Amino acid sequence: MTNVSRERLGYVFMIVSVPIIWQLAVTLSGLQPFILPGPGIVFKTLGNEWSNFLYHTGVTMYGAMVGYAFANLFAISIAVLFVYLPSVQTFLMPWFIVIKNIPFVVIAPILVITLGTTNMPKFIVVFLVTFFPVLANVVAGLRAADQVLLDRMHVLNATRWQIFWKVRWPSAIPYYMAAHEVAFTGSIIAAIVAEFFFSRTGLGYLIVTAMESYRADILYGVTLIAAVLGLSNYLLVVWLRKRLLRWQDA
Amino acid sequence: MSPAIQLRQLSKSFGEIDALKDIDLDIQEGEFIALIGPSGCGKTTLLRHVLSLETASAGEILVGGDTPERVRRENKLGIVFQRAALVPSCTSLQNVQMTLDITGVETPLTPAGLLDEFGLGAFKDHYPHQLSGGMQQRVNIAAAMVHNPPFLMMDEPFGALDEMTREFMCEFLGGVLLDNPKTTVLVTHSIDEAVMLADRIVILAPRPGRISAIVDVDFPRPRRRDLKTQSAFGEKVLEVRRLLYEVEEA
Ligand SMILES: Nc1ncnc2c1ncn2[C@@H]1O[C@H](COP(=O)(O)OP(=O)(O)OP(=O)(O)O)[C@@H](O)[C@H]1O
Ligand SMILES: [Mg+2]
Repeated sequence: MTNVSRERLGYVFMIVSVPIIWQLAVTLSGLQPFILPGPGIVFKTLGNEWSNFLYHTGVTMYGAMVGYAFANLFAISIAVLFVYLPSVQTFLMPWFIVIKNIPFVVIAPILVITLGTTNMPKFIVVFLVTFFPVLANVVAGLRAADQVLLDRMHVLNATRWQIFWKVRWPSAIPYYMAAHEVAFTGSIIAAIVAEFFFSRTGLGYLIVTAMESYRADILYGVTLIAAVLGLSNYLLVVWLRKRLLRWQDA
Repeated sequence: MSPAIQLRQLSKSFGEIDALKDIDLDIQEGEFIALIGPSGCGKTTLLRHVLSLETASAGEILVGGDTPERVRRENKLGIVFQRAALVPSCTSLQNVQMTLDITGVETPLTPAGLLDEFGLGAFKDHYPHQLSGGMQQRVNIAAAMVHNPPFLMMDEPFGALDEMTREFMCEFLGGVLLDNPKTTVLVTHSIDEAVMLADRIVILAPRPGRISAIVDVDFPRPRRRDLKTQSAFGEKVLEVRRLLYEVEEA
């Protein structure tokens, strides 16, 4: 059996196991369905209210992706600035360290008060949560470029542009992918938490209302959706890594 | 005719350390110089000055009557380090081609032709990680020579290779340079290698890094491996070894 098909088998096994283990837990614990609903109930809720779930998932994903896209754009640009103009780093770093260490759950309500119940607070919270890991990793990756290769480029009179595309950026790609793997899930978490505070839409809102009305089936439904989103991203990263680093297993 | 490379009172200090002190050396066009000396005596530092990768603390370097900086801009330098300076995501051929892409130099040598000549015809589409150490180093040398630079600087190019591969590479390099004459400086820890390849062996002493002796080697070329079985070769090796011992014991 090839490695790929073995890996697939692992996923199939997990997907089949989850409802079984879940049902076992329900049966053995004897907990009431409004506290621990079985997979049957939850899948039925997902089926009945699929358009509702889809809508709120879409809202959350939209917020997460817009914030994350801007975070990537800025993080990569600033990483390049840091590497080529160290004085920019000297100037910005103290700000970044302070902002990074303010818990984002504290910032979210302040943003809501200031900016109102628009999408803006959500974008900003997602941005703040995902910007720093991407920045840190891309800077590390650009700096990890092989010194011997940099010397060769210098002796060959390579332009900064050539050095960037042929040496520094390729060296940063694996670092960037590692950051993305964490930051993508982080962007969804941040969007959901931002929605707790003010939103009338999104998975965060769904969670808040479900808690108020003791709808555990909805909470488990949201959990399943979040798990699927996380897993899809993981698979996307694996696929991208295979494509971008195709030469490694040539 | 003025020497191809002139070092005049070249000195370099890194803080407290005098890496090089008052180095005077003339290297003739097409001459092969081997630099040998204890670890930390400044061999790499000397080479890096010729390559314009370091600036002198005092003294002067002229390469082809010009500053190293200007010579570099004219794409007249080739470098080979101990560790191959290859882009991991590029094939052998692409790595050699890259030198031409970056320098924009037109030469009668072609990357494919050079790789054929280097015995790597069947490995053009292999990635560095798929090649043995000796093969990588041959790709590295091809990449350093494909733009036919008049000056070739090599820092322990065979240092990481096993004895037999070293011997082979040594004879191979001698042959390549016979066909494409260049002013060459080779840093090495191997006395055999130095005697095998060099017209003159420069012995450096450490702290401060300075020239302690220069030995002429005038065996006719091409020099084949069986030269090593001759007593004249052994005597030359002995002479260099004694001088090295003097340096190390001083
Ligand atoms: N960038 C640097 N910063 C500080 N000190 C340096 C630097 N480069 C070299 N040195 C010092 O200069 C001296 C000479 O170093 P160099 O690398 O030229 O030695 P070497 O003869 O090439 O040694 P080896 O045979 O081990 O390669 C050493 O004492 C080293 O510590
Ligand atoms: Mg060295």
